Amino acid sequence: MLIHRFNPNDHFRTMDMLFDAIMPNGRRATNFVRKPARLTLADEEQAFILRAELPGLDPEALELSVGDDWIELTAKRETAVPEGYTALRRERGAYELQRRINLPKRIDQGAVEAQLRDGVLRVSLPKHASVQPRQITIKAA
Amino acid sequence: MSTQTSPQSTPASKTVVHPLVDVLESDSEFLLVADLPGVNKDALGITVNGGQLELEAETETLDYRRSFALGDDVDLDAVEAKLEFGVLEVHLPKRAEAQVRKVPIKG
Repeated sequence: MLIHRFNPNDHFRTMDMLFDAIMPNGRRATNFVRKPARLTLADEEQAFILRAELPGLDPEALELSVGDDWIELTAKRETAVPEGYTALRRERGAYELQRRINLPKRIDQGAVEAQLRDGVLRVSLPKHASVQPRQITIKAA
Repeated sequence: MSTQTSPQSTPASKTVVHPLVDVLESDSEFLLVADLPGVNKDALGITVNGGQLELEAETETLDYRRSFALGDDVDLDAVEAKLEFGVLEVHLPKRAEAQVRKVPIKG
């Protein structure tokens, strides 16, 4: 999915976006900017996979807690201009998020695994045995 | 300075996005900081070519691309880059003659 901060008063940008929408992927003149701290949740057969783009996040500044059917995520990043530098352009924002995500099914809390690599958090939330699909054997009558 | 030609064979399914950057300046250098979540060191390419700095990085689903015009005062041979926690830092030192120097005044 593409996310771009839409500004209704920026007509040139709007035109660019309209043209981009009809062009094939590789030929686009303008590029889209991704919103920071993007979250996705995938529902796989065995587990839910939560993925969050958290560039520059210190693992210390990340907190995760899980319940029977929810996960809570707290993360904070600050961006400061280092001493002796002046900013010519600043696009990278600080972010602070506290999100609670309700899961549609019960999970096995003990088997939750999280990994923060290259600024991407990936949490695997295995579904509880009681909600796993079960094969039913059919007796011949 | 490297002048490698970048491979143009990008699968059409990948979305090309601009990474968000900060550009900072000190007396001795320019510092480019880019957010590149999910980018591994091996999937990152930085090319300096004809006064342009080109940034190319790939993740499983995205293609990050952006180029920057460099001033004449950047010492192209001394450019250094570091990638950590999905954040790229490119240090672009200024040439010695472009650096601000305090001239001592004899009394």
